[in-house]
Amino acid sequence: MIIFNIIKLGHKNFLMHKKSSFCFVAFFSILFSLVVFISALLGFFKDTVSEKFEAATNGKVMVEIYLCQGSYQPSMKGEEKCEDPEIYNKEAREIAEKYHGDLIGAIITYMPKNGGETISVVPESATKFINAKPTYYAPDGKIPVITSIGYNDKISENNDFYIIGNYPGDVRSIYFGSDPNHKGFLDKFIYDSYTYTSHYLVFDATDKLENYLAKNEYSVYRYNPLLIFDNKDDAYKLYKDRAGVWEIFTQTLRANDDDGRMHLASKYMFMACVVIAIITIVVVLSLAYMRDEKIIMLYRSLGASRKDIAMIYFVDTLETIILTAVFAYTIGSIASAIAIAINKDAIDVAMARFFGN
Amino acid sequence: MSGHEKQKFFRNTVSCLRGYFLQSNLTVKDNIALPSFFSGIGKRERETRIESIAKKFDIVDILKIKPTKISDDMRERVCLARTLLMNPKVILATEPSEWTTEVLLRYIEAKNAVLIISSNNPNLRKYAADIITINSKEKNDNF
Repeated sequence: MIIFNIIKLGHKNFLMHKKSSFCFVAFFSILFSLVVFISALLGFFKDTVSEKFEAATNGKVMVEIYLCQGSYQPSMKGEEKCEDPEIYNKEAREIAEKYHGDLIGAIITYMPKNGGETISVVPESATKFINAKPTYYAPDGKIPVITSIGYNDKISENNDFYIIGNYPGDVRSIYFGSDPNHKGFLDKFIYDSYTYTSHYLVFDATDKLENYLAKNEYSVYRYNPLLIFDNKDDAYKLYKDRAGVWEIFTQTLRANDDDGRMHLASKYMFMACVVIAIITIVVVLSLAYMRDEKIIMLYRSLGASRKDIAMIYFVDTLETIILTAVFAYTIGSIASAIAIAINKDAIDVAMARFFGN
Repeated sequence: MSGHEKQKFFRNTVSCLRGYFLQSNLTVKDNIALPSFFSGIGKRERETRIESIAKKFDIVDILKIKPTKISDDMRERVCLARTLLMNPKVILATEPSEWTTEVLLRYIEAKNAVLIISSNNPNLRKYAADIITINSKEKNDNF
């Protein structure tokens, strides 16, 4: 019963200060919106990178194909073709023949026995088509690994590996088929944050890698054949026929430094949102305390405990924050829409140049 | 005193403040109900108590009005109603008016409660069982 009364008091408190609360809401909403708008503009600069990508390509396009739902997973009892890599490769060869491409191997993704982070191994035959030069950075006798930052701690423990972690520009993939599950609330909020994804690449064909995988009880989790095309149009035809379930690599996704910076900037935008949210909470609570010192004393003199007071101001602050989030999301969406409208032309031009009309 | 005992003591202690400190965003009824919000009594009991105490202080008609729209006299009554709503065992009063003092004295006599008054009025001495004199000048001299 106390809790309902306290919530009611917190709400009344919020309403009492609605004028100043709305000022906060407006101020912080504008700050949030600015962050979103800048993020969207960075999306615009990213699209200009696509143009460089097109300009530098020599016509070879590498495609990673997903032949069935969830790819080849030995542990899964799905369709028959998913259970045997040979059948899988056979189908890949048929697709390659139909669309005038060549099968050059498969990306094999390994997962630890007890689940957790996976490692994707790219065949050496495919690495020359990817604009990655990890061997430049690896000491002699080490296996170069390109990985996300999340992998670093885990793999660094093994001295057989040399991590090139902060090297996001080297290996890139572009998702032409978008995965709706990939778009969470924040992905929508931070425009374009999911579009460019770094790929994990491990150089294959060494005993050390195999030992590492065996020792740590990794097993094959996914098996994705790779096709190479001389002609972009053929690749795009394949994409259109099997829309949305596979990725394209190319060896010439250049301007990596710029792209990497944009990618990082996008992450900083998220950090900026978090920092603004924390500042909002601190400012709202501090000002509420200064503003309502007398009211707090009155509540205390009428039998309220410290917990009750904290709860009243928690409700007050929570309502302010929810209102700020709703306002910020609305204004931010409008800002994003404007920025996306600006970007649309750039995206269309880049896509048209790359794939033809 | 343990934490629980302390909490129990404070739940039974209410202050009657000079200036009344009625919250302008709450109605008179909610202002009166404030101590009950923190004590955890049920809604029905709260309503009964408020009704009864409002009748006692003749403020039934103004229960739904905001305190900014009532006279000083009425505010004093509302403040007293708020103080006595939960039948406190200890009341702390700062500079109460003559009428407030009278009401509080009648209350403590009936309920066998304790009233602690801080006042400059020497006429109140005759009601006191114990008197603590704070001489600010003396205090300052000591410093």
